[in-house]
Amino acid sequence: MTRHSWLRTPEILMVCLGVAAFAVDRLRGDPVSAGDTVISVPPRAQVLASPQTVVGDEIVAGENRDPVERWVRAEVLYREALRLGLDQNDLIVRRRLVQKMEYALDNMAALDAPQRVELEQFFARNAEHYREPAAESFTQVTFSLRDGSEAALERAAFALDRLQGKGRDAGSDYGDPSADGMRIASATDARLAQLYGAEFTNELKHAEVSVWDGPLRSRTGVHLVFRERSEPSRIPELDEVYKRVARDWVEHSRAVAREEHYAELAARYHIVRADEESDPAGSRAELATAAALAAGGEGLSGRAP
Amino acid sequence: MTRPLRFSGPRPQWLLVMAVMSIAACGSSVPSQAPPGASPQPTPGQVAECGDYAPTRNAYFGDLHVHTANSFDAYLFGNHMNNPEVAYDFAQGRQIQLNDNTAGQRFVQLRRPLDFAAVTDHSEYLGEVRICTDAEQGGLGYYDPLCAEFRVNRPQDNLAFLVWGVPLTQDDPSRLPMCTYADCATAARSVWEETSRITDSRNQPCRFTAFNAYEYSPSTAGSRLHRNIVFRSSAVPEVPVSYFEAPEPIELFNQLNAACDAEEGCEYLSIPHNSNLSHGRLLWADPERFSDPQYVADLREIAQVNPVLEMMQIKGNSECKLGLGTTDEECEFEQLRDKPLCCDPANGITENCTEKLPSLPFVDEVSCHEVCPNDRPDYDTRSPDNSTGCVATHDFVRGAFLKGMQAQQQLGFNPLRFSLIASTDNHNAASGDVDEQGNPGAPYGWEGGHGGQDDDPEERLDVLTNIGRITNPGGLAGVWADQNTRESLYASLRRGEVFATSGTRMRVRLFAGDYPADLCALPDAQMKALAYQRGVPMGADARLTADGGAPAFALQVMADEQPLQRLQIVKLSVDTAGDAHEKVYDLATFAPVADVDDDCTIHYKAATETRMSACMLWHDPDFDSTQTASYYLRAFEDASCRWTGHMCAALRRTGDVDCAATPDHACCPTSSSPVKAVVQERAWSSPIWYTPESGS
Repeated sequence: MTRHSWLRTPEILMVCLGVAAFAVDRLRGDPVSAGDTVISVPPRAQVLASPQTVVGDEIVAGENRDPVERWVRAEVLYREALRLGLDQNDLIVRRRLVQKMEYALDNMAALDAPQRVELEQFFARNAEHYREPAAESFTQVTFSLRDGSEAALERAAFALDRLQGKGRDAGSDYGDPSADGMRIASATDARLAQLYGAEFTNELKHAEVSVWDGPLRSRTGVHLVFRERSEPSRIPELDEVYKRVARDWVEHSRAVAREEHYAELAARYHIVRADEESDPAGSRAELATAAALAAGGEGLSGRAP
Repeated sequence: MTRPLRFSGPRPQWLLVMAVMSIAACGSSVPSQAPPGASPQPTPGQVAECGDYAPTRNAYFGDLHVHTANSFDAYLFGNHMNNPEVAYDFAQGRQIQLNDNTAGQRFVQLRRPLDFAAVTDHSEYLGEVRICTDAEQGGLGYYDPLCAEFRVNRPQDNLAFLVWGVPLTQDDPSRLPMCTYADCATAARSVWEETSRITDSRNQPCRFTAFNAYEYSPSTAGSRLHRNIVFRSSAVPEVPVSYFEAPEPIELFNQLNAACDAEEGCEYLSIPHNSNLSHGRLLWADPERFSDPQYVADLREIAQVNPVLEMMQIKGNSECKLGLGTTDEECEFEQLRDKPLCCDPANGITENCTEKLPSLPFVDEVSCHEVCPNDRPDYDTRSPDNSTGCVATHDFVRGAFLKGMQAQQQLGFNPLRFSLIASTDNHNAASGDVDEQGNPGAPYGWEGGHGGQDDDPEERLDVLTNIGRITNPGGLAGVWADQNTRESLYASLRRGEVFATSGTRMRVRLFAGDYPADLCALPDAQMKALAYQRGVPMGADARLTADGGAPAFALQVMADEQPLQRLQIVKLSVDTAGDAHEKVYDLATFAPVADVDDDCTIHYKAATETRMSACMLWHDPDFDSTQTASYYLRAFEDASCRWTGHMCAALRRTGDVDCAATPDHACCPTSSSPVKAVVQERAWSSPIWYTPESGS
């Protein structure tokens, strides 16, 4: 995501906040002092290029007014509004300022690209998150149920007899056409269940390895299987999932940094809660969550790789 | 007949906008002429890298059409949170959360994960949505009044849909005013970059394929002319080409060809969809312009890059329409325009000739669908609503194929040749959420696909909207590929060895060639080797046998969870005089259709065990080697509860609906307009084509 780089600069941000604070301060109903009555009108070209002018400011009365005059009028009214304290308790102003600060918090967390060692540590902490499921590989001969399961079982038994002691390729001389084909490899339990159902999946796990075994039943037929190997569930090497880990690290780090910054800001205030006594647990739970995040807890939840 | 845009009333904003999306002008999608007899060789430059590599190919199921919160309409529907990450999470079997409904939180999860998926957010407004929802990136644009309204829009509101949708209905669309001072292009680039980065990181060769993709979404004059653009690899253009840059499809493809650097590995294909809502415009090759070399060259170019059609999705099925050139009653399956055709003696339609009664409470709600004048596109009418506007025969696959084959006789190529897939077009980022009975966490069956518009059961029962009971969860794309990688699946899409299902994971294959009579009695490996060696798979061109005889058709079907009920071949042909013919052949009926109770219990009328798979050899009894023809397989499951059936059963079970107290509720058998509660899920193969020249 391309971010506007100037917004990332803390100095500029602080200047903006300063200006805002100053403005707010001024508004507390103080009479206008002499210095505040000066309105410096920018050059015409600049006014014309400003967003307010481009999109038109219908709030300012007088559609045919000259753009510069409209700008001046808007500025006068804006300053008067501030002087009268009209921004106080204004929901929209409050929400906008809160939003600006939320995004400011996000961008204070200017993240550098992760170092490998950081990703290694992050990966080690969240290894289970990247676990790959167990998988099975086998070759099969399928017998259609078109003449009923008795007939299919009989033909399967006949073929199994002849396949004893033979390799997996010998299977191609037996069975019926099957849309799925003979070889199923690296299939997870989920995929096996999708193809043949849970019963087949369980039975397959008990089939002998490297010999023809069966028969196994599925929704669609009777199967003889030559189970080749079983890949146990494993945690991959970092390099196999590097991109995913890097992405998760960025997300996680950003969230942690945001909460850290918030905690710093919140510490400047003494927060007195009217509901302190009626709902102390809720408030404390919130603080605890923020603190945990700020302390760099695991925080990686919900989404498995 | 001019229908004004509706600006008020409780009418579904969805109609307005989605209808608002359709494609402009000439819009003919012409799939390329597939290479004859694609034999099961590895794709050039590709290695057998996966454990399940099979030269005779495996069936993989996925969804190539899903929207996330980055799509303006999905956001307006109330999907504010579910981004591309969430779409892939869901596709891979993880539980995700949808927007809350009146009953509280909603969670959904696939019972069976997908093998592949593509996030296809609308390229139109990709940047604007980011500007409106991200204060930091949006800068001043974030405070634009349109953005302020966009953020607080409720799914039931019409206004925002109109404001954002209407530009997409204009011939010469212009961006929203905010883009004069906010950098919409840069924002779009960054969203696209982010989506690609996520997609690339979620692509796991051999396990799960994630395609870079987006949706090009013109709705010129309310005709839906949308296409999904799918990229082969991680090499993609810097920014997706949208309707704003390319108001005509040929401009889209010219610009994509320029932006997509083949030397860097950028390659794409385009998948048109919802021809059923295009008023004759999407799948159109105008015979009156065949003498114009530029027009024909454009048709050829469009054909080259549009090999596949999304024939079914949430907004209906585009196979065929009863009365529109066919008497096939199965054509009424999941029609979004489900009303009968209006009286039109010129087209042989003599029913509904009494005065058209408007249906209440909307006076302009149609009670029948007009056939487009002369069966040509309607360029004069604005039809901003899914339920309005005319229908043409070529809005449906059968009519398009016939017109394409007729054009082929003049042009030497078929400008309307497609292989077939289905997908969802789900706007909740719930990729492949097609289970009628719902899934873990969805107590009332399928949870809808349009955020806050259909999150409550009663909204999903609505008859007045196209988002209610008339929609379906959408379908799945089936792909026969030698392994689950981008390269392999993409090659299958290009080749056309793909199929469409209404949501079931039934596997269907169709071959045509010179086959021995005992093909289906052979062991699996031998059968498949022969099928490829002596013939071609679906998507390809059949040839006459060595002695000039008709090709034989071999079909293979494996049921999903329901047993098979019936198999058919649909033949479409054009004779030497240029006349079009359609015939549906019943190949096998395994059982009468089962009865389904109100509580969704199924009473089968024949044993189920013996009809879980089928292999058959079929000869066309009417084969004529001088006729151009296409053949596709249609395979039916036995009956089961439609999503509406599951939902009503749940509502009655929980007492939410009490038929004694409210006998006219749509879930009650006593209702004057009860829901359609039962469905026969089905799968369609891609066609195999025959042209007289190819046999000589």
